[in-house]
Amino acid sequence: MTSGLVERLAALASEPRERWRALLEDELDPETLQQALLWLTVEHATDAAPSLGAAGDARYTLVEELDRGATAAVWQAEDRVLERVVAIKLFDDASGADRAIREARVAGDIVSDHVVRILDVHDGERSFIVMELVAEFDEGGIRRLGRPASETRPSSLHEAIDWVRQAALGIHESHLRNVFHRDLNPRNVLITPISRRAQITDFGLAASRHGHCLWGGTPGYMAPEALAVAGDENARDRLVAIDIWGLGAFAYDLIAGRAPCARTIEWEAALEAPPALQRTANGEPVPAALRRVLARLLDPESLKRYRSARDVADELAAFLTSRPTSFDRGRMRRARLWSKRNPRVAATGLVALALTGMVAVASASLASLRDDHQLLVTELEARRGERTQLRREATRIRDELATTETELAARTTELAALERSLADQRQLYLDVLAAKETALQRASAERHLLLGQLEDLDDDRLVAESTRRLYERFWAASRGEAERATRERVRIQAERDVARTELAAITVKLEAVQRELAHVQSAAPHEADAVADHPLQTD
Amino acid sequence: MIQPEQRAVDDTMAAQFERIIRRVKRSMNYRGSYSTQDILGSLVARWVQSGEWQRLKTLPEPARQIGPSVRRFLLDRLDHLRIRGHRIELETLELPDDNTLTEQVELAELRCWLDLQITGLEQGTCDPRIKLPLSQPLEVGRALRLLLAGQTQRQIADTLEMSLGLVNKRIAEGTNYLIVLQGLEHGITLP
Repeated sequence: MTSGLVERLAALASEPRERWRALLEDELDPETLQQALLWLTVEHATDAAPSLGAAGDARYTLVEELDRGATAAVWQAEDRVLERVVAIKLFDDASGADRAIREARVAGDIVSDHVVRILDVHDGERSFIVMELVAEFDEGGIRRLGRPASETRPSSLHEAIDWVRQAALGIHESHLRNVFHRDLNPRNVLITPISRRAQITDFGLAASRHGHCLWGGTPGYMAPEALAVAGDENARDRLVAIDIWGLGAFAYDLIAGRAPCARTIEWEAALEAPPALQRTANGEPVPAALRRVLARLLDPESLKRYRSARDVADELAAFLTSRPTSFDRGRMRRARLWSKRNPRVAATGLVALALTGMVAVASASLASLRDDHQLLVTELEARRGERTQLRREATRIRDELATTETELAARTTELAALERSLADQRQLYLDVLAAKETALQRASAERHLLLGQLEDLDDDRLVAESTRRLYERFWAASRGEAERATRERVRIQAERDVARTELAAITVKLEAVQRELAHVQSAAPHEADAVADHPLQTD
Repeated sequence: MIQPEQRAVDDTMAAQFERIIRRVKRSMNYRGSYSTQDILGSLVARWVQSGEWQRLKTLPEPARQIGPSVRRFLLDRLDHLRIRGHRIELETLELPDDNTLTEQVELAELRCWLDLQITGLEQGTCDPRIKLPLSQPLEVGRALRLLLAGQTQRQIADTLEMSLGLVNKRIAEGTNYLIVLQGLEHGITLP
């Protein structure tokens, strides 16, 4: 690691520059040594206490850096003139002079147990503000430094709300002097180490008659309208509302352990309304009354918030001492809170009320019992008369009942006979029904059989139909054939007639030839034979 | 004896290095409260992230015109805020001049560069140009990342389950490492 080399070089820091050059030329490799010197320079710049300028250094000695922000650091310092320990806010650059004077003027005008006091300001070579050091001595005489609320978490919900109440008192004092903090968050509220009191610090972004920058705040704790107040004609009301929101954001962080809004440079997201708080960081439920107070502190509509920081302090004090808050308007709720505040008086009152009630109830009960007794006597006599009447009525009814029972016996006998008869008839009907069912089943079977036969017949009919159509087609074809045969026969007969006619002519000719032949044979027998073998050639 | 011209070079280099130290430290410090300039600075950082600066860098020097582009971006974002309710009239807002804007752009670029270097440390690697590397780059990277996310040193100690003193040491080591590296990037060599 670098520390060995850096420490070695740090030991040489007081050496003259020529000696360093000699080291560079003679010992380590140049590149490594150069880097080591860079490290040394940086660490030296980091560790050394800065100068306060000639006048500042003459009076103050910086002891320890307590906190560091973007543009300034807070140091614990000793005031050699007054021999006391103070806190010094030292600005980083020369442009801090205006800011230092403005912040000191703004916060220096506020007198409150809950605002860190400004003791002095210097705007010379280096600009710094001298402030009261938030610290206390413990029983051993050791000085304990106060820490920001962001690092000193409250031990209970009660303590957290008490810190917010104290911060509200400090803010109220600043508002009375037209100073508006605009940057309330747990980092800017210091908590004393022993008495655990809250003190507001860092008025660097405050708005006042001494002027202020256009915008300001811490991401996560800024009111929704934080970028809208400059140049507004209702700026004072809105600046008060921003600080009221800041108190709500501070309370929210103490209870929930986180900022109410997103901590991001995405300003739009950081300006959203925070979610409702149901439980503390330890998982304990947040009382409904406190939830309502928080909701009003963090209302996105600035006009719906508390009108002043004093109202907030009073409201929180009421919550802490179980007195009615502005939300507790009901008599029952107020009575319950009063009982919570005065438990002994409430308990005594409750006992006395209970005893008085019991005596009143007993007296009322005795009178009521006497009245009840008289009513009962009267009612008893009436009931006796009723009883005599009822006895006579009972005798009459008993006689009627005997007569009715006799009739009932006769009717029961008749009914039994009737039931037997009905049973016989029922059996008869059942037999008939069974026989009919059997017949029905048989008829049904026959029906099924007939339906089968009918289907067969239908099939046969279809076959016969198709056969008939086939025969009809054959018949039509045969009839055409017969007609053609008849015509052929007529034609053949005609041809035969022609042939017969020709045959007759040929026969005639033949006979003529035969006759001629006979004639010739008779004239020349050899020539006649030749003609006889080829008669047609002759034609 | 040191020659006067050599002393002048040393002084210039020392001033440059001091500027680097201040810039890196200011960028690394826990940023509690934001003033108008801080809010505008964060908006300029978003302008750089939007890619507009990369585009402008490709243009020749006379045509770059950072001022109008940044101002247009800022007014657009602020106008967007105004849509969500009663907002400040933009005429009352004094926008930064070109020099301030250039400074803010450089700071925004520095933040991007720091973010990149911290990502490297989170992966356990140091820049090879550093001859005297960190012993625990992973722890340093995580601590710096949480610091940049706005957590206090106590919150970082709780998150990383480390002592407050160790967190302070890691943050100091990491900040110094980034300063030295930034110095090397700018060609700073001592003496």
